Amino acid sequence: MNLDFQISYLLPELFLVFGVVVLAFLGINKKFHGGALWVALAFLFFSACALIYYLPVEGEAFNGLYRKNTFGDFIKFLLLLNGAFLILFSKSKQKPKNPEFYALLCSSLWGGFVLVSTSYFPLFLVGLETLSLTTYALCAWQKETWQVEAALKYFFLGMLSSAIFIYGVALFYGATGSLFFGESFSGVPEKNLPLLLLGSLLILAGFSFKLGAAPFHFWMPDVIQNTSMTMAIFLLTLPKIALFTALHNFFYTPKPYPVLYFALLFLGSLSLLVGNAMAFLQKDFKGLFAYSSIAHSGFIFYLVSLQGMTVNFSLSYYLLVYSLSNLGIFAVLKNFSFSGKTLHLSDFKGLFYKHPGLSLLFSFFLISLAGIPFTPGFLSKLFLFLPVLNSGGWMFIAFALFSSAVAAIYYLKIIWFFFQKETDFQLQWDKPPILLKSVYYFAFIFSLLLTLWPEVLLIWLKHS
Amino acid sequence: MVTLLFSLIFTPFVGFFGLFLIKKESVQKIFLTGVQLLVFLFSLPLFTFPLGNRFAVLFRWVWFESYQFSFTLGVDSFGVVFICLTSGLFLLNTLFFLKKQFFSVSFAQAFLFLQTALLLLFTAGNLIQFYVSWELVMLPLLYFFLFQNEGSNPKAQKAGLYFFFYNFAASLAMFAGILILYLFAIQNHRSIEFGDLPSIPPSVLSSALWVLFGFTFAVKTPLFFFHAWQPQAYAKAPVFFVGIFAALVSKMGVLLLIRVAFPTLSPPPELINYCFLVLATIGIIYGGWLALSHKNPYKILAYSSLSHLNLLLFGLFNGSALAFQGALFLSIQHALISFGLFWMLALSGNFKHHTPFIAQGKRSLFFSQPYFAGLILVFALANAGFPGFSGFVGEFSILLGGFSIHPLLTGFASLVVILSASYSFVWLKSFLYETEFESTIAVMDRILLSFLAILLVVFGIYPVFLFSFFQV
Repeated sequence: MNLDFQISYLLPELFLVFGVVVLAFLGINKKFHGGALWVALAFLFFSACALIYYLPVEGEAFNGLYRKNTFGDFIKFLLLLNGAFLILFSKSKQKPKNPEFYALLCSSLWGGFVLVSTSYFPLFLVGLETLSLTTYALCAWQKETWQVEAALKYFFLGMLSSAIFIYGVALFYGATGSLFFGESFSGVPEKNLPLLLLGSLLILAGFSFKLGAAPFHFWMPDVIQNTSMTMAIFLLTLPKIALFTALHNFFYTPKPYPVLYFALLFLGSLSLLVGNAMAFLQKDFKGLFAYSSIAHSGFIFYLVSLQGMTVNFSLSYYLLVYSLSNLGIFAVLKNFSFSGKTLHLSDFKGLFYKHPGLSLLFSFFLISLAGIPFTPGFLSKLFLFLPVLNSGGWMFIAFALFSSAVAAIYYLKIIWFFFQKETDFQLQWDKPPILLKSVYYFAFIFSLLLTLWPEVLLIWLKHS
Repeated sequence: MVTLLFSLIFTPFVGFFGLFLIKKESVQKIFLTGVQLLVFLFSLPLFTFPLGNRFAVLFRWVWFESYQFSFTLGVDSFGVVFICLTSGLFLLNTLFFLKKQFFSVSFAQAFLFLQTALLLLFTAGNLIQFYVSWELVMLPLLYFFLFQNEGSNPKAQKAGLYFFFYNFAASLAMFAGILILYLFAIQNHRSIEFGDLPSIPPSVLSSALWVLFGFTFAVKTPLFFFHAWQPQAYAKAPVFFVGIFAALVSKMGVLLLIRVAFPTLSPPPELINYCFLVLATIGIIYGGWLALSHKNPYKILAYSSLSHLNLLLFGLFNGSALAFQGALFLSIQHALISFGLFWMLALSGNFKHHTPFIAQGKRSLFFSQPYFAGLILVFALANAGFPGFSGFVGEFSILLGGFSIHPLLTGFASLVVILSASYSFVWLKSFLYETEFESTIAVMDRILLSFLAILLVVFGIYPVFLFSFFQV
């Protein structure tokens, strides 16, 4: 155990746990329901403050079970940022949400924190299940039949993937005799290698299941299409950020195994292919963004196998930009009330002539996701391509370039709809609550800042 | 000089925002003219600075140090010529554009945005900035195609989509090429700034980059086989915009070669080079032939442009220094000539009613506007490459330079002289003598066009001035 490590370094996590307890108690009386949002925000804020205060500290605790480094801290900060945006986003006019919603949100964030900072399988599973179980519950929050159905589907498939994951862990343990991942790859005896590879592949399959990467993606569009807007954006951002970082940690090994890298690249290419091809055919918004998020996972899969400061930077930049753009888009979408559960692309014909500012903002986020220059999305793709190219993956980058061209076409198609004049704009527009507005304005300003000064992230990551 | 460059680039950008604030149309017009005059005046002193053909970096602001990204501005002699061409043509364009039938604020803003983007492209100092400015140019272009005055025009939108898809594919290829070059420079601890780029020895890498950049270039400055977007785009774009479009946008490809491809890559492999030359030769003949067979004057000029741009490509790739200089000279002259011709068409109204007979009491263009008809004659002769006019100088030096290296292909390429003469004269005959013409051309327009015509004659007689900027 690192003797310098103090329990106060874990304050961000502790604040979240404390927040869960307080919020759960707030649920007792209806009087407290209105303030629960602010309480949750306050705990997230405290957690972020503690995170930034102890930023220069790097170390390990509990015999190396729990790690703290600047990259992990940045991902935690990103999770908190997303959580805060989601809390603002969830505010609806009718009646305040039950505080338990925020309690679940906070505990899922805690799960993400654990995922990011451990390299010990049992603890990792605790984090993974905390994140997943709360997500199942949140998906069925509004108790509509279709939402419960989606949540059940998600639950069963998620359980299956957890089982696969645990089986992989068992094989991994059998091969290496250690429950730590990372460095332990090097000392494995020759005869255990097949077992190790099988275990690692099963773990990778479990990861892809949770991430919704092709060919394990089938639950994802279905669940996202059948859940509320808040949960859709939750599923698109939070678990991905935590799990990709965990996957990146998992592949932190000094001696690479070609089969595993090949599996990663295969998953990435297939996700790109399936995600983009299916997104191209979608006619409704949630479906399109669900599939496009599969494609974005494909890009990140190319990156996670690599190591180093630049890779950490690229990964954090990509995740940050991706989540900001998605949050912005869904916050804009939430302005419109619509009958039924789907929002068609063609409903947005003529948006520009009705709400010019909103449509331009929307277009900005879309072209950012498409990766067209002068947006952070372009830079994020550039930073992602460079390390991969540097390690010799030019064929994959060629494929990625091609598929991002396809992606650009379906994103631009939406913008094309905005500027069509023939039809009147049909959707009903409620005056958005100021909290919802703040989400997309914040996302926009953050995106601009990231375009103008991408180095700020590198400064954070180098800070130690 | 840095101040000059900055004020040159950002004056139109300030104008772009300024137009948001001004509501009265007459004030808008004065403001627009003022901005363009200012830009033109800023651009002129650039000629006085001694600049070689080596790119000189004048300003650098480090934006992202670890990746060597920076905002860098610089020029070389070729850049100076193009900057002046841009500011001059935009000034002329604005003076024509102020007419009641053309003017609208949103398009004026699009022009200013386009001007900023083009100037940024011509002064971009490093690879990444070059790519970003390249894409920045695309935005206003799309705006011109997709949002025309009379609501959404389906044909123009279709042409716009064609244009978009072709050029999108081209920029993708260029992006891939620039990424590879960037990585090559970083791995060899070299700079990514122009003028200091690493040179790549003949290898597979060099050939691959030639394919990528060659594709971009072939789409942008349409080489035969990659040209399908061009005639449609020229014929369907708004009439007040085709001039600038034909004059400047097709030259972006030349810029890519001058700035990125030639300084870094070893000469293209024999096969690629030969493919370029053969396709260019076919393009020369094909463009000329189709120009001869079309009736729509915009289409005729579009195909004539295609033919001349292929000649330009032929000059750039046939390996002789004289032809190379000639091609650069032709690129300037093509800009002036096509700008003038397209504006003449735009000024003289709608030509859809082409009738071979003049009705009783109506007069043809030649008899109702003799001075204007004379100007058209000058431009058409320059376009046809008549000796004494500027088009001749470029064409002749390309063919002369090429003949010593590729005599057979140059022989075929020389057909351009016959073809361009024939379609020019057929077109002139029907345009000047067989078309009813009622409207009058304003004195101001005649003066501006005469100025352009004088330039054509001056460059035709004294081309050395421009050639001195294109030392290889």
